[in-house]
Amino acid sequence: MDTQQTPPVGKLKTLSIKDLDVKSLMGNAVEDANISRDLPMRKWLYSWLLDPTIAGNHQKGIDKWIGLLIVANLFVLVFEHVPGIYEPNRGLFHFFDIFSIGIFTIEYLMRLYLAPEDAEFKARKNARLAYATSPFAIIDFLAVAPFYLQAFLPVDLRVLRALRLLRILKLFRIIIPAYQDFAIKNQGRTFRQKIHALVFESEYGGKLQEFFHLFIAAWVLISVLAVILESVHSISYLLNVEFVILDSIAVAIFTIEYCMRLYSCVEEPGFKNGWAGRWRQAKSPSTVIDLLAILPFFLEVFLHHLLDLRFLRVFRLTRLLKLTRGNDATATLAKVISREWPVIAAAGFIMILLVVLTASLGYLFEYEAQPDKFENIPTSIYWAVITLASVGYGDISPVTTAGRVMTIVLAFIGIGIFAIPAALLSSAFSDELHKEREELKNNLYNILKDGVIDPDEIAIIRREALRMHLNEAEIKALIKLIEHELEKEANLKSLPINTIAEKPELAVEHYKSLLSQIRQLAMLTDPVAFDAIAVGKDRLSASEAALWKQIKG
Amino acid sequence: MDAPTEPPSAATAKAFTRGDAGFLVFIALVLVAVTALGVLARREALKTEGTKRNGEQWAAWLTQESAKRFEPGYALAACAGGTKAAAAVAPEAPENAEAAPENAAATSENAAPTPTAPTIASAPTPPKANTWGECLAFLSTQTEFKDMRNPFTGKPPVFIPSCNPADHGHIGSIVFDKVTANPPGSAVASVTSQLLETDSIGDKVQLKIAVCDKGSYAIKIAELEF
Repeated sequence: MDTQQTPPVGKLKTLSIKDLDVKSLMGNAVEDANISRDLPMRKWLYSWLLDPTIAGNHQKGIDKWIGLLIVANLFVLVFEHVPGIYEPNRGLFHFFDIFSIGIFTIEYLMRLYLAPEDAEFKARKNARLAYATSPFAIIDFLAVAPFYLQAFLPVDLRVLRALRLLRILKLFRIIIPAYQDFAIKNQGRTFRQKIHALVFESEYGGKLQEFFHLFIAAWVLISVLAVILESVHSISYLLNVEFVILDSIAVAIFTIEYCMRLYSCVEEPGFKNGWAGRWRQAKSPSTVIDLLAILPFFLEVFLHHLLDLRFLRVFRLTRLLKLTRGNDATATLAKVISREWPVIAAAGFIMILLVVLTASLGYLFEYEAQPDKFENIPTSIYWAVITLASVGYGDISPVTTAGRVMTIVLAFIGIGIFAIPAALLSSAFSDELHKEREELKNNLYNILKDGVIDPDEIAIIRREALRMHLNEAEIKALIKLIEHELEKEANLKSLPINTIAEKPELAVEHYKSLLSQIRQLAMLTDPVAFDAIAVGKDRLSASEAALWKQIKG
Repeated sequence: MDAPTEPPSAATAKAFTRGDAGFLVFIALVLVAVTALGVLARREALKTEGTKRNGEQWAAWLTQESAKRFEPGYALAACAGGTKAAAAVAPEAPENAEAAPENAAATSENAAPTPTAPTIASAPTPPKANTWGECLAFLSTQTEFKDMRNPFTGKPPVFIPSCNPADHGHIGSIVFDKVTANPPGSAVASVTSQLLETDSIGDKVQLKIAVCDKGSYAIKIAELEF
């Protein structure tokens, strides 16, 4: 799942091509926090550690690690309730608890000490008291207080564990700002549009949508891990009930997500037609995957007497497919398969033909010698596939001379035939990537033509680079190439055609430039309308139309 | 769930419609339904846990009695190791070796196990070992195991040869298997086979205990020596 997002366009500055820094273009420039050493100690510390307005300081890193520690605490709280895990590792659990409390206490004291520097509290009469009574500070205090409480008062272990749950509230430090940003972005929008912004990728989603996707992805991973661990006898023996509870929670989350998607999909372009739109969404592969993720749970509850429970449990692994939503690599693979489908189907047909023929010949030559192994044609198919695919387990092998000769021939044919689909897919995948890069190159070409890159164009470049997994060096090389081509084009344009024609090397470059223009034209124009006019209205001859198709690729 | 709303610019669009309220009610119902199903699934899982506890109880008892049962004067004669004293067999024991459990129990309770008694040595009946069937029947009817219940059916657990997912009558049942070691150098170290009621328990027996879960699949509980 691609949860990375390009930064908001409004924060980007226009760049000039003359002194273009690819690092800044890609948003990878390491910003140095501009914090003076001459600042007073407290101010200096606040600027480095907590000030959210200073780019390049440690504020984001601290927030991230504290967030991870909270999530780790959540898992520890769950595992503490499993005697099979808790009892043998009591010491480790205790150590982790002390470590967490240490970190959270340091964080609380640091925020309390630095409160007078915080813009939110510094105007108050007593900044530290104002901080200590603020909702976030109370949450922080509640997260550590029970631990210290037990040192003075005899607190029941169960009560202490329940109080420790309060640590989860610390997550609100991250969620509330994201929600506030989401509320601002969705001001004046309908409830359904807000639901849409939360579950579908859109400009209104912001950080909250990112968290929502992370939350779903985390539950996918947790539930898949649970399915895998359930197959380990020693683990499932101890945690059977916990796995059932975990699965129920995962299904509740996925079911609500499924309903939210179906409800709000009508806000998506292409699905704007009430129930018909929702039906179309329900039939889409990603939504079918969502349904498959929750279906085994309901089938297990209602039809456990009819269906094999072990199959249903393993079927829950389809949840992993949920992570492919929005994954461009999967989309490219699907596109490649659909494009090459006729050839793949033909290769598949030949493979089936070959398998059936091989199995039949195997049966013919070997039945009399090994009636137990080559009992009939269907049982010989196993041997045929294993031989043709060059796997060769060796559990069934021919013993007659004719059978062995046939196997030699088939092994050679099998290498070629079975390799065709793999080669096809690999070459088509490479073609598709090449095409996408060409497209990016053309986009860059158009972007760089005017000499400046505006914020919208920067956002496009970053998004495309992210989608195609291009690094800085590759983008740099592409930009250099385009600069070179622009330069040549400028030189060529200034020359009359007969002068270009006199020099073959110039003629070749001019020809390449013209081809590139035709490809750009093909990408930018509406292909259906073009074909309708060009072919339908006889504006292009058959050879011209064929040439057009060949050039556009 | 009504027709799609227009983009946010539409000033006339209501922020919260009746359809939205309906959706929230639906979500709440879904949540309640999934929670109820989750509770149901947990209850079923607890039944499986109960079945496992049954198996563990058997495993604990058999392990605990494993050494004791070879001691002279062992109280539970039906499960005692070694050969039965002839005196214990000759006068009161039923002629059929696969006697009814009640008889077996009565035999073991009434006859004091005195293997060295002179009258036994002079008896013509050859020494005979207890069988698993006698021991199991005695334990199931005369000891704390008689109160054991299959959590899925509420009835006493059934002892079956193996769990079969196709047969839902096996859910919650207990399986005792006999593990026989193969000679050294064999490809497979041991062979597991069904422990028959007629199998002798005069010598030490390697047992494997399993229970059948909700899907009638076997859950291995323990391997032990009895």
